[in-house]
Amino acid sequence: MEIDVRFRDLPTIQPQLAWGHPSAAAVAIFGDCGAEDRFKFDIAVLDVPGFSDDAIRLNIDRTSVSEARVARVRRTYDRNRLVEMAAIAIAGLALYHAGGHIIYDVALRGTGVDYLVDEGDYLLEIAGRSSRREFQAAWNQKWQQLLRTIGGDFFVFVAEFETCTGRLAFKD
Amino acid sequence: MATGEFPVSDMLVTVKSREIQRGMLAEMAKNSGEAAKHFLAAAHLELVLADDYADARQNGMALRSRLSAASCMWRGGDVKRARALFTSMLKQHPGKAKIIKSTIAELEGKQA
Repeated sequence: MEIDVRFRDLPTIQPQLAWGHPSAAAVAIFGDCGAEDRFKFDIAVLDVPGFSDDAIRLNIDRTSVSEARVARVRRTYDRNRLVEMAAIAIAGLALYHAGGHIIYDVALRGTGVDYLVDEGDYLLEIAGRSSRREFQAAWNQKWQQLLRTIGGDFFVFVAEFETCTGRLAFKD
Repeated sequence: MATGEFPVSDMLVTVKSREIQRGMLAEMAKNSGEAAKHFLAAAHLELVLADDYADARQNGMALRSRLSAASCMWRGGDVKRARALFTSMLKQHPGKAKIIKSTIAELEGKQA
């Protein structure tokens, strides 16, 4: 499945969070990869409720994110943080377009997850990595940790920004 | 003002979530002053929400908001008041000691 999306839609489709910095961080990171006004991001989708396909390609329009805002986040955050925030922006788009899932709240510290999804019914852990070779280790670490500590009813999303691919999976 | 007649405000929940997120972003930017401002704002909103959830008999959500309030206070620099809140929760909700202690442990680790 291929879908045209815009960062400017994030406040509407994921209204519980503020998206200015994550969107700008994503544009900064995509820019580092040589992309300009539109970015492609391929996501493998595994067992996500409400979504029958096994992959989604996001064609992302960045035009609402100004260069000034991108420059500002570059000055404010180190690169690892930018990558982490870029992954959050992509996760917000992916969750909505793969089954209509809404990030409901920031998770409590000590729970081992980042966010609550769909009125708090599910947990969500997000990770972003700069290089492809770091992807699988990040995935294994997040997935195994949640399996061990929580057991089920969680999403994991991991993105890597070398080849602009990611994986979104749900464990029931 | 008695709050039992009012449902829990979605807008309040959204503003609170965004204040926590802004605090986290400020932490990421190593801007402790900004982080404290947003975390303390979120803490006070969580306390209001906790009472609203309790009035609405959503006790699980009420406890969650109190935990979050204490956590936000801690991250906002008001560690003394945060500890008092955690202590009070441990007395009132002994069955939830595991999650309360886990939250404290993570905050203490962060402070170290």
